[in-house]
Amino acid sequence: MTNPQADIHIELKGTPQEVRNALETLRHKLTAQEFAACNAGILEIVLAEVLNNVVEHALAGRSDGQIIVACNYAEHCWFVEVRDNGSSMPGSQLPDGVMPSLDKELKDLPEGGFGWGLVRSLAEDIDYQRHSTGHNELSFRVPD
Amino acid sequence: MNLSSKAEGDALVVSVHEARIDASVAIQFKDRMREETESALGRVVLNLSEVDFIDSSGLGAIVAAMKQLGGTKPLELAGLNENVDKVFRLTRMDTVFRIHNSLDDAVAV
Repeated sequence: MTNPQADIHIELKGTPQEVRNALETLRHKLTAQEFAACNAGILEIVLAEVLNNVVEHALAGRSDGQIIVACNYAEHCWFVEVRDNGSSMPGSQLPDGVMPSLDKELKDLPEGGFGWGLVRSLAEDIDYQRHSTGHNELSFRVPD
Repeated sequence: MNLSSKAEGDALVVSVHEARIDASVAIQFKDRMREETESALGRVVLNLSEVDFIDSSGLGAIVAAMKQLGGTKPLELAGLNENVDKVFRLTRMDTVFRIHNSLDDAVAV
């Protein structure tokens, strides 16, 4: 469960600006002495895509969106949980994360749809649960 | 969204003076790119050396900027740090953009 005792615990509202602030907070915490050896970049990329996805889809059109992020570090790996009060993933399933094809004319090149491809490229053991309380809970690990 | 531009040889170099190009600024980035590149006659080099993070929305905004320029004014990239480069490689966008090792390389071409 997401808990305030996590190595890194961040709560945010469901807006793009709050996502930016949360990632800056994450970056700041990751440069602290105890995590100085960790590969912060990969964790930041994955969390950015997960949080953007929550804001753009699960919490679309909502002003009461709440997201909780907990990251625990153990044995060269980040264990991450993200909880939000938004709507369920379509079909209660995770996106397949296939990167959009780039074999197109310039004008038809994709400008989006890369988020879950990045998550699936960089994170492992991704699990999604929809709770009867109306919350989504996503967990995954990011090797250091 | 702080961008500046300067002609260097046959290229217009647009430098991004921001640490992040992300979902919260993607639309501003695209609009500012349009303004900065209005006078471009040939290739445009986007100098990302001050940028330490982009997400997929930022990537999409850079793709949109390339489309805005049309096929005759290619958008090339320089100054990618490790994490920015990783986003381009994982999405295979490194096959779409010409990526220079440094700004010096980009303008020397």
